[in-house]
Amino acid sequence: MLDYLVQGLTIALSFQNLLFMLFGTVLGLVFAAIPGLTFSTALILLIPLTFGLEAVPAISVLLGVYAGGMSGGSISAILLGIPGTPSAAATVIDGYAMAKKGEAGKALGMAVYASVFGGIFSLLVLMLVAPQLASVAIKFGPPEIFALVVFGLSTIVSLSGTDIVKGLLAGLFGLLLCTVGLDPVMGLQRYTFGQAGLMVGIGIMPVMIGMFALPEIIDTFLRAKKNQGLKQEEPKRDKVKAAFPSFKEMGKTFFLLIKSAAIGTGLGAIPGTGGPVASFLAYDQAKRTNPLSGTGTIEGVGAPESANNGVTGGALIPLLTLGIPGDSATAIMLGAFLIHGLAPGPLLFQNYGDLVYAIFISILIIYIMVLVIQFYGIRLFVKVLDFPKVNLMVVILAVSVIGAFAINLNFSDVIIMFFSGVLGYLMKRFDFPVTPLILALVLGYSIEDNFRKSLVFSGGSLDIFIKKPVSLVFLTLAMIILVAPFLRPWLEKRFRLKKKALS
Amino acid sequence: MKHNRIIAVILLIFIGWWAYLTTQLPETTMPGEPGPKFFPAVILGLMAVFSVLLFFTKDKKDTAMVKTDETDDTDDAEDAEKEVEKKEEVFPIFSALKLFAVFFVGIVLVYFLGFNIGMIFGLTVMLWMIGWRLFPRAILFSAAVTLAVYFLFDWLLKIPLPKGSLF
Repeated sequence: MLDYLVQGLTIALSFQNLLFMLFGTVLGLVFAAIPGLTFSTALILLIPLTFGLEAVPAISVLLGVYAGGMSGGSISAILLGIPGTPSAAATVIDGYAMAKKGEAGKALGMAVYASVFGGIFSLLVLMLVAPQLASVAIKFGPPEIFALVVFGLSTIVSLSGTDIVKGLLAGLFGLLLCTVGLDPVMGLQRYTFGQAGLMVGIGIMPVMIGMFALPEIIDTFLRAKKNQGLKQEEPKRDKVKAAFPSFKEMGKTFFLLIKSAAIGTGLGAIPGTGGPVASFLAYDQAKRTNPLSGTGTIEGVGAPESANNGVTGGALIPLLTLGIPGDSATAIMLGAFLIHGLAPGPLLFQNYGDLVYAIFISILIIYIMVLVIQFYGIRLFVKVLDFPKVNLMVVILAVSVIGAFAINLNFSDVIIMFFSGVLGYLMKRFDFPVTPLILALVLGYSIEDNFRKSLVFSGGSLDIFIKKPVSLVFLTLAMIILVAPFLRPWLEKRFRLKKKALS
Repeated sequence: MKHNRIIAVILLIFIGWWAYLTTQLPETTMPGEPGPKFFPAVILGLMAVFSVLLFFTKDKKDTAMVKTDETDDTDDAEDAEKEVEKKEEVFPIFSALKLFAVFFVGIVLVYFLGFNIGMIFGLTVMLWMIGWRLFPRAILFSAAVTLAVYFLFDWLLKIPLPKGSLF
């Protein structure tokens, strides 16, 4: 391990890597600070730029966007009362209240401190847990991998929001898209319609670029058209300066931030939960610690920020060790890993241990960068809030075409990107969640491949999935996750009736 | 007719067509192996079930938040989440599809005439459609962005861009 650590340190501290980390972190902070832009879009914007890079700088620049993006959402949450990212929604409650009381600087300082605290906490957990988990996962055969992927897919239920039927339909459609191309066992063509471009299947990256970037671009254009000629009065925010929390405040919030970071890391490690859930659960902890939360307290700002940054390290645990992405950002990163010839999973730790540790060290450096940039560059980010989004979207649109084309130098990927964009827009419009489709597309090929290989080994008997304890556990968990939302209303109703009868 | 019902019917038609394509796939020759038809058939079956469920699901309407006595602390957190959530602006779907159509024409031009001409055309028309003046603002901005992106990727990063099949 020490060897890997030293080698990782050498790779991570190279000038090129530091430069790209800095670039990614600034970009993530900027995109997260502007409401309406997501850091998923920033990740997509950067994918084609990473084609010419070595694996570690390429992953580091994306990790910079991810960590910077998680942290930067608090800027507009505090200054404008609009969360820059969904994960910063809970920060609005106390952050904006503090800003209205004239304590914006204090709130921004607390948000930066808590973000870095949560991020580094989750990194330590990642460094401790991931290698152990990888050493267990390396013994998995096709039945275990199949069960694990089914478990990963079952999180579609939690990614579906309030409309589970639509989420499941989106996920199933994603699985269906995976069947296009060559059959994984027999090697014959399925649903290719005679198109050579479809023989390799439907690429993950063109679909992700289309589904995440195009709907956002079109909506920004339409919003600009609607607001044309309207001059909105912007409040003067030029004199805002972040104020770092005092030692007394740090001591007062220390255990709350640990608890929140643990919530974030734990939930981040479960695919499908993510930042928004973690930050609201942590905010609930802040309310218990300080009953005044909601009126503008540092606890109400620190807890959600520590939790949503805790998610970053947590989400990397299943991604790096099992190859299962938990949200859209980690799904994009999985695509980037694959582009650079690195397949996340247990073998990553065995074959590329130095690179894995370089990634760990890079995350630590990124969080130090977040601290310095967000703290001292707050005036720049305040100005960024007023940047015209349409101009940025024009750039993203042009880069999206390049991003889709350049992966395989195949024009059919551009067409796939376009139609994915239209589909993504319609899905968004009719309340179909997009992330289940992406998750299914990422995991679908593996699920069919491992299911069929397992049956070849067992001679067609499904018992193989029950006889293996690991596979049985994962399949049972998946079943519980899938059935729970359908049973919940019924159980709640029963509980309420029972309580009523007792009272 | 409600949205959910229309979508469910479209999905069922699509499932029927895809199921027909699935029946055209060959059978497996390996013992114990379910073959190339099995996985798509399972997915289509599940999709059909959920499409029928969707058909009978009511369209989402804005419902008032009702607080009950039974709410616990987690519910408080959820309530806070709902309070902070801002309703997203909804634009006419036809306007969006018009922009998509122009972008598609741009992509077709990229295929035939190359990245620069296709993108400048697509971006200019899209910007003009959202109210930018065609000349000089929309044309110059589109050209500047396209050329900057072209130089960055093609010249600096050496990533080949579509040159156009006619050239």
